[in-house]
Amino acid sequence: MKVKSTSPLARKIFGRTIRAFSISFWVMVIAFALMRVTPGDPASARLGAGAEQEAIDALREQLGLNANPFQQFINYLSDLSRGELGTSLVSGISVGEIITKTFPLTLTYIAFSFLFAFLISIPIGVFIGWSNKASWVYSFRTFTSIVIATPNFFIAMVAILFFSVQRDWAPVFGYEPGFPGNMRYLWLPIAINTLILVSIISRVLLASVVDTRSEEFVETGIIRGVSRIRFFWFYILKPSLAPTIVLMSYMMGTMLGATVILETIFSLPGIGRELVGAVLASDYPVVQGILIFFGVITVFLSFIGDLLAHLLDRRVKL
Amino acid sequence: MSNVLAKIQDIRIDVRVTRRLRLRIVDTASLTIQKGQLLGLIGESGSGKTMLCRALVGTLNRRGAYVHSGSIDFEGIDLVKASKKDWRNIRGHKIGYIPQSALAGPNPVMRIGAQLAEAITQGGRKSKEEVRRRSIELLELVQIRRPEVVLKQYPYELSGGMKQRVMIACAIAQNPKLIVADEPTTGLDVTVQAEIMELLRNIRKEFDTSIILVSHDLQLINSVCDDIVVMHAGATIEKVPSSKVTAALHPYTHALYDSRIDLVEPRGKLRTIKGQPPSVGKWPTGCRFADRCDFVKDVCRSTDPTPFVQVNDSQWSACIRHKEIYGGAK
Amino acid sequence: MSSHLIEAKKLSVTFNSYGFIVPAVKEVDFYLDKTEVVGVVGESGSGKSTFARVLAGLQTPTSGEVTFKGENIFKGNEAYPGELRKAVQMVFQDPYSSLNPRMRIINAVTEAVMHHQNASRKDAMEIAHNLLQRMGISATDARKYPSALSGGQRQRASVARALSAQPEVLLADEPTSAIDQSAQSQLLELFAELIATGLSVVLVSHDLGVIRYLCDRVYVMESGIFVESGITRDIFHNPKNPYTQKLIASIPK
Repeated sequence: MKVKSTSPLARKIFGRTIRAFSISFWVMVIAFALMRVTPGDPASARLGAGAEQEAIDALREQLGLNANPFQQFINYLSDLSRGELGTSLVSGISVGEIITKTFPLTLTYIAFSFLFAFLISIPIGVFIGWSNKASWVYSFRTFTSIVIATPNFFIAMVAILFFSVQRDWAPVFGYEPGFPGNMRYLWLPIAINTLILVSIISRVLLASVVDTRSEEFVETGIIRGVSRIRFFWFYILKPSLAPTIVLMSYMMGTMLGATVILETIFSLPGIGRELVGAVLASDYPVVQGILIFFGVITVFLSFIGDLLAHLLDRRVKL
Repeated sequence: MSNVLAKIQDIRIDVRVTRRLRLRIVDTASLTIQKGQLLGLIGESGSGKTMLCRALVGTLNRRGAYVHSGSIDFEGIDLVKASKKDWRNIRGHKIGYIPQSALAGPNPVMRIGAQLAEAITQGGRKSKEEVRRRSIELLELVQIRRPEVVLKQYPYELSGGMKQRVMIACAIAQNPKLIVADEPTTGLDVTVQAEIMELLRNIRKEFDTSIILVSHDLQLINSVCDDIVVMHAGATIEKVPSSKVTAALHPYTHALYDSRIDLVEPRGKLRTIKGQPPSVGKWPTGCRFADRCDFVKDVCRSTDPTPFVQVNDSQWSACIRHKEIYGGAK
Repeated sequence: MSSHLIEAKKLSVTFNSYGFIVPAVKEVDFYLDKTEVVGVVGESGSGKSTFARVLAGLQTPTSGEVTFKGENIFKGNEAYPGELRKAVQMVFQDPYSSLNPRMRIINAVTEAVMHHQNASRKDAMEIAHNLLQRMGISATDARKYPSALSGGQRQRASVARALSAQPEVLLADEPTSAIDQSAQSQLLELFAELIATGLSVVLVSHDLGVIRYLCDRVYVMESGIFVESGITRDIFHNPKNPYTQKLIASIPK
């Protein structure tokens, strides 16, 4: 066997990091281009139909829209490299500040949803998958299919009707920052998210566990007489977990997009609602900034997910 | 007969297909394994040889199969009725197992060192240093070079032959009395196969371990094993020392032997066994080899198959007409 | 211009893996004459399967050329253009993956006959039936799906499908390694019959017994090169190369 100077793992991680940065760069390019090719002038859109030409020109100048596109792009990149995402046209607050103010709320309920979903999916996926009992698997698939097929805003509305309007277990809308007071407002969105995530994650885990179950090394483990706990971890869960991890890291990114709907329905002042507000107000620096933020997070999350999966199960290619 | 290590007696194995439907996959198989014997078990796919192995290592249940009747006596314990506690004392300690596919045998998410440690510490806790010393000793025993490096590797970093050596090292970690090797060289190269067989023979010699070698390759079994047990359609139909395989007492054994391609001139007439082996669940009544047998008579189809019987001091046959066909015991 | 049916000259194939250039086949020369049976024997990783894929036109070589009746088999992006496509047919190791699982055997072969011989469905069906019968597959079995057949039967069905193109050369990559011993001898007997009718065969295998039984000449491949080649009998009785000697010594006695 040939001994290489750098370990293959370090080389692969280096390669993937470079790739993540280059994808992030393209995310920025696309966000920049999207804001320029969308019809209408951002300045006149912002100021409304009755605005005077001078005001529009002044705003255009302020936004740097009078420079040629190439120069604009250079300016944009140099701003970004300094961590400068621009300032809101509505409030004059910097986009970075808007994100740091609104993102923690979104992060809180996304993180809790994923944590709970993961903890619930593992026993479900492992036990139904390991038993491989046709009737259980069938009922499980039916139930999760229904959940997945139902639009999440519909589930949210039914939940609000049931828990908030009929029983008053959760406020219909509003928010109050600070733990644990915020949980009163957050538990329902978290529960809905968890339900949807469990349906997807446990299905993937179940499928992997069923595959693992029939593998020969499991037989070897039984015959070797491995203890129950070791068997559960090394012979069932660990070999089955990689696809689930990859899926979760990918879904955390896409979940950011879904926050728009839930935050609107529950009137939570998170980053999703901020994005909707910015779009409606034609506040293009905010829209652009949030999109870049989402994009970069998604890219790095999926990188981390792939890395974790690879460390867990070397059969997964990095 | 204190020399007997394990005795499988008239075993029948069923598999649950649906809630009501049961399929018999092994129907009257018997085997005796002497201490220190290298026993070859041969049969085509669907003959039940793998299920018989699973009964020996107690993993039938996983495949939805169970022993219908019969017994497996292993050092005074009936493995068919063995409790979980009995199995805990047997698995890994007294019976080692080398899996069918070398490529899927080792656990892909564990380092080789961890898997060996698992096998080594079955007998009770051992210090890290002890485990490491024993691991290296075992890897050296199965002729793996640079064992310190291999301990830190994952299975995907090893070749097929190396993986199978590791599996053998795990199987012999507790000095088991019996090793069940289920087609251990399928998918491996011929040169690697020869090395693995050499290794198994050495282990047998050095530790006086009994080995059951399962294969569909008569040529291989014949060259390595002391005794050969032939399975056909769920039944053991012949037991013969490999030195006397040309004087076998069942037409199927002869047919298998005669269909070897190394016996004829290039592109010469092969003596193939006609037709297909009877598939599980569609076994004919009477002798299950009747449709493919050159010596078949009506009586073969009408007499229920009987378990094989001892014909002379070394041979057993299930053919009811072996005397007529082969002129009786020699 | 050469008189060989298939000829490979200085054929190389390299793969790119994580930026490393991995040579699989290194500048090998090979030829197959009409009605000849040539074996390529080697172990896993020797490059024999890659070599077979090049001959079949499934893999473009990095350098060197393959000619069929003196014409390069790779024209632009196409391998075996036009009528040549039929002339070389391949049989794979795993008949499970090369037969459509949702098609009855007889229909799969009929389809192939219609495609290759421009026959009407009725005629094609008859040709297919005859072909399958020659392969030892009964009319009852022919109406089954691949999953209902044994490994040996499936392999014979895929030979039937390959023959439906009336090829001049049959390329077989490990045809016997996934099937039982009795099925293997049936398949080999079939190959022997086909060879007797004048079919040229390239047989890629790790099984020396199969090579010895079928082949006129044999190439021994190790690490991407042919370490030894010659008349089968000479190679088996008097191997010169140490690797060939090791291979032959590994055959169970």
